[in-house]
Amino acid sequence: MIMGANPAENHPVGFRWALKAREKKNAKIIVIDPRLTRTAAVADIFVPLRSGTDIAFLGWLINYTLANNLYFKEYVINYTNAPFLVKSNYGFKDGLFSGYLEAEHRYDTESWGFQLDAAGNVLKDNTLENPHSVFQIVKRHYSRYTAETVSKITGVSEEKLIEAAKVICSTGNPNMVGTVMYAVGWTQHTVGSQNIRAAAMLQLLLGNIGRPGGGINALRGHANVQGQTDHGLVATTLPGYLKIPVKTQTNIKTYLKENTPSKIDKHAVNYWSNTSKFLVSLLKAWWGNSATKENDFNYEYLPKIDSNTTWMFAFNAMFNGKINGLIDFGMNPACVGPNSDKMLASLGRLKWLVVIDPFAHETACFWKRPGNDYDSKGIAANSADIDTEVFMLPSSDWIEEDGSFTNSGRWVQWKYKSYDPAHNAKSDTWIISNIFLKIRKLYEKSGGIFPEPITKLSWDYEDIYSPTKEEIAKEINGKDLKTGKQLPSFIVLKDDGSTASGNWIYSGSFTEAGNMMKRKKLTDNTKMGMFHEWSWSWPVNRRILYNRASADLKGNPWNEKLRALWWNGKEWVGDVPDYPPTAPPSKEIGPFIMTNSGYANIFSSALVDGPIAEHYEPIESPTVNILHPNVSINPAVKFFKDKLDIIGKSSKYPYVCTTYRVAEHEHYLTRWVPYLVEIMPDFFVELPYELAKEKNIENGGKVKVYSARGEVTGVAVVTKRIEPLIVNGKKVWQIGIPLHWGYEGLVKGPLANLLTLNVGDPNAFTPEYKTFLVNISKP
Amino acid sequence: MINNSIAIKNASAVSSNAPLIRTETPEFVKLIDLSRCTGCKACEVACKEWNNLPPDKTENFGSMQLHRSLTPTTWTMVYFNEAVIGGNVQYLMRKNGCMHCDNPACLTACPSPYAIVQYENGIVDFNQDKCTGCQFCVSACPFNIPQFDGVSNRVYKCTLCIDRIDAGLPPSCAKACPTSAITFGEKHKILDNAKTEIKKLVKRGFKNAKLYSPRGVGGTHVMTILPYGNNVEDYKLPKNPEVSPLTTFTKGPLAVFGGLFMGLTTAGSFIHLITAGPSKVPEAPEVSAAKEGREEEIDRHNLATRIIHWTVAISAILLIVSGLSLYSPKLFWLSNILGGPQSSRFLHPWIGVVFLISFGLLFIRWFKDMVIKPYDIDFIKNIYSYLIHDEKNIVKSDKFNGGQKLVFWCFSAGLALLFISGLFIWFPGFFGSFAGRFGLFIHELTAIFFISAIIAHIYLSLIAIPGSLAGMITGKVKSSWARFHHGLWLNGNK
Repeated sequence: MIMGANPAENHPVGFRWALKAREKKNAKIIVIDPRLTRTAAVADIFVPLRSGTDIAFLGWLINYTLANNLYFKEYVINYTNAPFLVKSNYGFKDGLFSGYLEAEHRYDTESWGFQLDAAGNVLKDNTLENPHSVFQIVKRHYSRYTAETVSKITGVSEEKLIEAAKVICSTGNPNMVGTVMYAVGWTQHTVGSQNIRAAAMLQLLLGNIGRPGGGINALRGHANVQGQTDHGLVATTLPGYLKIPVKTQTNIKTYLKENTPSKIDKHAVNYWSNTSKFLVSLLKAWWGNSATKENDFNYEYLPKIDSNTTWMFAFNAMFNGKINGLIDFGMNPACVGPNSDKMLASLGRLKWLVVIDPFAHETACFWKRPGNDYDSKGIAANSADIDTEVFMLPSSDWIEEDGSFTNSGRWVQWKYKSYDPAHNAKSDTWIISNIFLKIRKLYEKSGGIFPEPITKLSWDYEDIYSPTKEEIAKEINGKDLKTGKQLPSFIVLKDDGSTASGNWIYSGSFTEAGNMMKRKKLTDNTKMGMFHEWSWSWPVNRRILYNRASADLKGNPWNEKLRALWWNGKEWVGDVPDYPPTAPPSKEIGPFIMTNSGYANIFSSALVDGPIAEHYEPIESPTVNILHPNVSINPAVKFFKDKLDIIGKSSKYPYVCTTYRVAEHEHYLTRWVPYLVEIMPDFFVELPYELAKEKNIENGGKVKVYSARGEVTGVAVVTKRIEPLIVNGKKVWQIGIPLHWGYEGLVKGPLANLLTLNVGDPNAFTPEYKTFLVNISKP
Repeated sequence: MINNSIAIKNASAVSSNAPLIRTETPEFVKLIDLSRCTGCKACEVACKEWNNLPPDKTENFGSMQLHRSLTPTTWTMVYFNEAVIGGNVQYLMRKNGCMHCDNPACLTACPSPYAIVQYENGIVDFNQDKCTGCQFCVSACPFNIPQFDGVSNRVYKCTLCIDRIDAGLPPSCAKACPTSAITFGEKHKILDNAKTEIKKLVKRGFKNAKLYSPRGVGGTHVMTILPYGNNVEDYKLPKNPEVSPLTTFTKGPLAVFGGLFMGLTTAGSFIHLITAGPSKVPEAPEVSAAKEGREEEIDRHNLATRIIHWTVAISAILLIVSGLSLYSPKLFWLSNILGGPQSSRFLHPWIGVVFLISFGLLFIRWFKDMVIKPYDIDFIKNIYSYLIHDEKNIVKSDKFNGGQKLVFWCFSAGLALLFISGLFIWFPGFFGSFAGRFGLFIHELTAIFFISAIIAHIYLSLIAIPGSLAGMITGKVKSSWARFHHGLWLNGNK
């Protein structure tokens, strides 16, 4: 099932495996999307749907699965938290879950917890009949997602809903497995996190997690964005998905107490209980010998956040003059950020800006942005009014660097430099090192308020001005500080300061045996395409997460042809097991080792906007939420209140607009590549055929699209691939806009983000790029 | 690009057989499975990169398809089309490029020896060094593949990466294709794979899935699996492509006929020379009477007329020379006269323009004199008497006799035909392939008669009717000559 993604265009090499599954195993490819994309063109079934109604569709699938008893019963009882009893004060009414604090616009999630016995173990009902069980709660909740209701919300006909459900929900048994492929079509919504939760719930009910050919596959967008998030280049995490400390966690004890879960079931491995080992080893990697048990391993040197530091909030602070400077490393905020007027204005409020990139892109010369009526919006109209000092440091491109790329399957494949950077461009590591060493020197010379985190930072390389990728990879893997030897895996990490590791999940990637990521052997012992000797995957070269769930309680695969990990009488073989290979199945260790129960969470209090997914309308929607019109949108969403934070109404902007990428370009940077410009030169707008006829817009002519925030003009691509949908009794049109254009490059075009809004998911704060309202006209 | 002439199975304009002595070399096929094509255009970029071709300037005309057609620097491209098939909108994508036909129309149409070769493995390749830029291949190809470049004056197309194949590598497009929609291999193996894939497609619900490798061009070495096999034209493919009968007729029977006809005209002239011989004008009585003094000379053609006539004549000769070189491989050596094949082909249409303008001027001068009168018809009725010099039955003519007038009007009509058909041949991109093929057929047919008429005209004016040449060089003719051949004109002049 491909939803919220267009892999044929945006992950073409990965998509070949979907086609191979069809070729070799008669797999069916189903695409659910507002447009008939190039992926849908080769799919078996295409379901057109209104952008922003994914949870309604997924809820229908969950309903269909449960109502028709298509769920994988043995799996659900034994491996998921479906039998868990939820607290009796949990509830859902009129669009709100229990615990909503109206004034604060957020939930108190206490009632979303489980009933525990005196010993702290969760209460269960393995018959799944108890009305407080997760199973019954989920069944009741999604019984509201009938074909009729979901058809009204999504615009999908009831016939198509049933056709899709028949195929997708057929995998809830030992003999079949289904996978879900998604990308930013799901995450870039105000219900983004819940979109994925809904898919997780469905896949768990169908027993598809942990089995080969199953799982939920996030198709990561850029070549190494998986590596980026793994190494903590995110506002809210440290490397290895450790939570970033908050202001109130002033010492390591408090941090560890608040971030180390305790188990609620005897079967749980609860691997996050080892958090202290991961954190201390990280601190040792960063501050070396100066980090000792006495000083909490320099925990106080870690920056702690006291506010929301994610993208929209950071740029909002910038807009309001709270941020002096920005180091923009390998990205293009002027193009990427939602609500371009506000984005570009924010950059103009900086005192200084450093752009480190191979290209002098739109951000590097943001003052060149096309003139808009900025005066009325209270921001600088002329570039003469902008006081930002801008530095451009030309850097290498990814082809000009060694290192590794981590793919969507967590395989960390080593890559080699193809040639030297052009002209004066320098390698990224050279730039970082030189900046760091200069700053360190300045601190050492003239002191400062709190220079130690910089001055005591460990920087031990052969050439401190230009560390090699190998040296860094070794640091990330970590070593035993007593013996000086590279660690074999994170299993040996300690919290007494005797181990160091720059990222616990990458421990095992560069051992004493060498750089495991460089391996290129094609041996496949499992015959399931795991190729354990090709590169290295985290964690510990495991290829399928939670692979224990691919076998029954006795350790025999649910289906011999679909085996990932099995018990051969003496040990677990196949993929890499999650616990000691000789621990027998009789021990009944829970397969989901990262949860505090050992079971997979169909019901979970981890997200802030609900323990289970509920359909909420996008912020800008053509209709009210027919499930609960008084709580139309996600009640936990935060809004900004500046002049430029405008929300549009459907009376003025009747059409649903979505943004996307095309096969020919990679984000904003390939408009500098002549061959790619040749195959996709101009900004265009995909218009439904009948709508274009109504508005008298010709194919190949020009069309203007405008939202409450801005307007763009492009070539009209009039298409029959976007059908009108009947939503809540009304005809709704959808329009598509590709985002690759900007005001620099070999070909120029308007910024798609002039139209988008800066409101986002309340968990990840990803902006709702994928659905907003517009109107169109002839320019 | 292969430098191994022994690998050539067939070649353009060879006056003898191709050097194929070994027949056991396997044939290769490139298979494009459209059920796997996602229109990503990696093949377009890979082709450009391998062949170091420059990017074209393109603009979006309302589609994901960014080239309206192939170009001299774009040898493959993806067509996009939305068609309603079976009640649903289908998004069809097809990689377009040379089909490497087993019976290549381009090879048949090409007049330059070895400019187009077909290798034993099935690849049809252009040798641009031998290309004259005539664009006969452009008009002949039923798939509109060869692209003419106005700067280099040559045509270009997909080489099926012959240089990579020689080195044991797959074609660049096949290597780049992310979904393996493009595969390449030995012909029978690929055909087996295609059969299997089509069976799978049928099972999946594509009841009409077919392999596109049209019989009309002898089958192709680039085959395409069409999931909707009954909707060929929705993929922007011709339904029944073939080597046009115009092409085969022009290169076959017409060439033979032309040779015979022109040969017969030459032979006929020779036979006349050795039988009837040149005409003898009886001596003027004034000259035989008086032993002194010259016979009176009369002005027949003024300077301007003569200059124009000779311009017409010289350009006609050059056109014939350059034209014949493209007409038959056996006469290709004639292209050296105008500086080589490329130069000769390039100059031919421009000399045609000179011919048109100069004959036009001549036409303006002479058309009044060329009006057909009743006595001209009598003259033509008695043409035999004229040819065998039977003085008694020769009809008196004015400035030009009936035969000359007939020839004049035929030349005029022929020239018009030659010029218009010539334009079609010159600009097939503008007028279309059918116009190009039809134009070539009309051009050659007209030329056969035209050249035969010129052979006769030259024979008559140079040899058979002495005194005519002098008239066109000095502008003057003897009065006795005038009295004999153009009596009415002489009377008018007196």
